Amino acid sequence: MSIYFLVIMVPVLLGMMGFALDLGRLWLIRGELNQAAAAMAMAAAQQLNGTSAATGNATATANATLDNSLADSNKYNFGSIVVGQATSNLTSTVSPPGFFDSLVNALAAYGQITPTSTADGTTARHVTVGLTADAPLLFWGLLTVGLNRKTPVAASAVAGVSAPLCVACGIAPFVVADLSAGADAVDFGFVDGTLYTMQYQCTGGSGANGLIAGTTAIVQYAILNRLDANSTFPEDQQLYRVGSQGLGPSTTPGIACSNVGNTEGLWASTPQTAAQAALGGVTAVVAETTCAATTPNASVEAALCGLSTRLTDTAPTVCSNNSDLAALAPNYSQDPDQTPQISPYNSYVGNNRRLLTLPVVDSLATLNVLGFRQFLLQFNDASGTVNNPGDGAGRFVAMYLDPNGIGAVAPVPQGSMAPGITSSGTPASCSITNGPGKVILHQ
Amino acid sequence: MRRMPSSRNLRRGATLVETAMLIPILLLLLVGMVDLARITYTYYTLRKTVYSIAMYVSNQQNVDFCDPADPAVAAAINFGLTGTTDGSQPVFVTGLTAAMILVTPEAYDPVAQTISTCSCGVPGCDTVNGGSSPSFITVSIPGGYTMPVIMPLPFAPIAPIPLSPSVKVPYGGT
Repeated sequence: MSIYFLVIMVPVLLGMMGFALDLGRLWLIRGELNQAAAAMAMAAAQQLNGTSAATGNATATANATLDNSLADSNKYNFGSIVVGQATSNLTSTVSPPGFFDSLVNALAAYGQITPTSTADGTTARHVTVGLTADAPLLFWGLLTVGLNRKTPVAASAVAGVSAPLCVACGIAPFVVADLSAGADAVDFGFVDGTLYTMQYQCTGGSGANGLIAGTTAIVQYAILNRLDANSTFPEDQQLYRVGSQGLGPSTTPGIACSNVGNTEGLWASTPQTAAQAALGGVTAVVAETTCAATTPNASVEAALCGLSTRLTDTAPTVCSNNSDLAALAPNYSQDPDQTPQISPYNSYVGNNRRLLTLPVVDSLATLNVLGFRQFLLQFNDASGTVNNPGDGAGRFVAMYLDPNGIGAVAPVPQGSMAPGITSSGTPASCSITNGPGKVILHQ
Repeated sequence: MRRMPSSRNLRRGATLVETAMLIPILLLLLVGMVDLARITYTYYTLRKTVYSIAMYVSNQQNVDFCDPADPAVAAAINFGLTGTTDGSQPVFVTGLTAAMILVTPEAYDPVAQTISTCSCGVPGCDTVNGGSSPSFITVSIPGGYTMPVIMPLPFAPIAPIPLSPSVKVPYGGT
């Protein structure tokens, strides 16, 4: 009698314990895999800058989340097995991410273990990650239904570049004016792939300070008022930092970001604090009225010294002579793509150091932000001459990138699709359809 | 004259002995099951906690990873522990404190395709002093959250099990 009882009860008990423990662990593993997939998808989407190299960079960066060289990669099964690595019994596979030009296509591939890309690096805006891993079965493994003692669990995630941002953070603080005076809402009168001589806002600009050979036109720029009164940096170091890596971090959105619909001010409109001046920073110059041949504006020179770190690790002489700036120089490294003049944009293979996201304003006199557009920083000529920060007119060469063309824009580090706040404290109006987005995890 | 026990009584006695032998085994199974389920549940909660902290911190501005008392990191840890950035609510997991949680910035070298811990020097992730933003954020519980085991094994008591989940997400802040 007891034997019969045991024969019936043991499988029932094992099954029940399987429900309690194995199912719990399956659920846990599913959660761990979902988080691993989400991290991979977001890391990959950050690299989608519209170049042919983007998919390769995205795949490599996604796989970096599974790099266990620091023993802290994303793992599963109570954090014991690295996702994507096989043990003697359990296998885990991570497929290359799938790249898509639209969110609809990316979401259609959601849940697939090996999503098939339908876009190449130049058109990819969204990425779908699929992975699978075996979960061990402790109790169900003793029953006939689970004789393999494991069962595969799959996870998937979709991330991509968002709609155009109304508030963009971490961008470069140089502004350019709408060349079309309101007639062209998409390109603001700029032409895709065209090299422009970027020249600091000043009158004159002829002769030695005019058009850089090989460029099409002169575009004047101004530097936005982004002096951080709470920073422990003197003014010239702040200028250097915003030139080399964009607007610095700040809890004040007005300093870290720029938003469409806001009226900006010029850099020198706020003087540095006495404490910052005591650190030995340069004194700001409001605006150069004329473009001198040899004496650059001190503010522009510091910002352009920062800009030159995007192109070269060798500091130009005027920058290395300034001890304030030379102290910061080791923080920034040059773009790995050292091609002097990249054309077309989709052949760019660098790490986005040479990409500048600039606010476009209605005019440099009124400074109302209309949107954000991206430019690729170029060397001054085909032999690889770096921009000269000591240039009297603060000139450098940049190539305009059409937000809708091949080589669509790269995501900016941070921002918001909701309208920002104007400097007077009221919500800004923002209805833009073109421009860079940011990385968003969809699913 | 002694009466022989009836076969019915014999059977009843045997069942009693069988039950007496089975009850400790069943109890052990039951308590073990509860233990393992608690460990799984707690681990999942901890894992969710570190993931929430990582996702929160990776979207913040002005995070100073070199400052142990950085308000953004502290707010993120409070958010993960209690669901409120100021820590005004009770913690989700009893005994889990902010001091047990480690937030590590990591730099990714796209050329060599290697990942390394960001130093707080120059060059490094000391953003306040001009360093660049990290590429990844790892949130972990290095010392582990110790989970007492209630399973009453008389000869071999089980030591508390440290649970130390870790999660790595890309940094999307500035």
